[in-house]
Amino acid sequence: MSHTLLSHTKVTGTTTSFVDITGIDQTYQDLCYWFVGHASDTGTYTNPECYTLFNNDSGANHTAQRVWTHGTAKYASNTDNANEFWFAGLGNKQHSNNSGGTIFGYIPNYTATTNYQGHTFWAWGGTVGDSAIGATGSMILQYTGQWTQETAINQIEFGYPAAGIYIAQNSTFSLYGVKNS
Amino acid sequence: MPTKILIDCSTGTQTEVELTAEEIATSEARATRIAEERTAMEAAEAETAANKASGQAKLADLGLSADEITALVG
Repeated sequence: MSHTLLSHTKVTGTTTSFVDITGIDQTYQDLCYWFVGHASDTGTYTNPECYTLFNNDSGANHTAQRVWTHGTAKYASNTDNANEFWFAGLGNKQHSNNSGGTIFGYIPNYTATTNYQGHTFWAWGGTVGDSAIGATGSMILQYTGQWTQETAINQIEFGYPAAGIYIAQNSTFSLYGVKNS
Repeated sequence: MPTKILIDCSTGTQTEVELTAEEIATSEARATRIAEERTAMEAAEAETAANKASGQAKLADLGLSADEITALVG
């Protein structure tokens, strides 16, 4: 299996809400991405939420199951017909020694147009631990989603939607094409 | 002013542009919706945990040992 870098973006500004990747090559088997960084928020460390969209689709076409852990508190939930794929609590800067978030997303068979159930989407995420908070400063999640559209994916959007909260400087977003070769 | 980074993989170009008023409104609505969903999920999880603890306490009041309660409800 080989991975080819399709795009790499390092956020240099201070007011970037989201990255919008278009023109994605349609010749790979799968796609995957890494987000490494955090939000600019300095509020409660369990905030904020970030999201992913495909093909700029904000329709009610996103189903998901997620499990996540904040410290010792464990949660599980599912969502039908949401307007985006979203993840909670992946890193802000409430404390100076906190809190990076790392997210890995995988999109198998992203060029398919005939799968009745649409495209599956997997993601894993976690934060860098926060010694100022202790165990509750850690967060980890597993996410399985489905975009219920029979359209080849040629665009991906990732960001922090809340007002006044941005992708922090020096955060990076990298997209790869995956081939079984 | 909030911005977005536009990346075109077909050309390799990256540009940063300001969001339109419509895009800002869309983002803020998305943030509100997600926060509401998350709050509801966490509240439901907390309620389930509280009900479990309450149920375990009632079983203990009936005389079941901690091991027996764990065997029954985990």
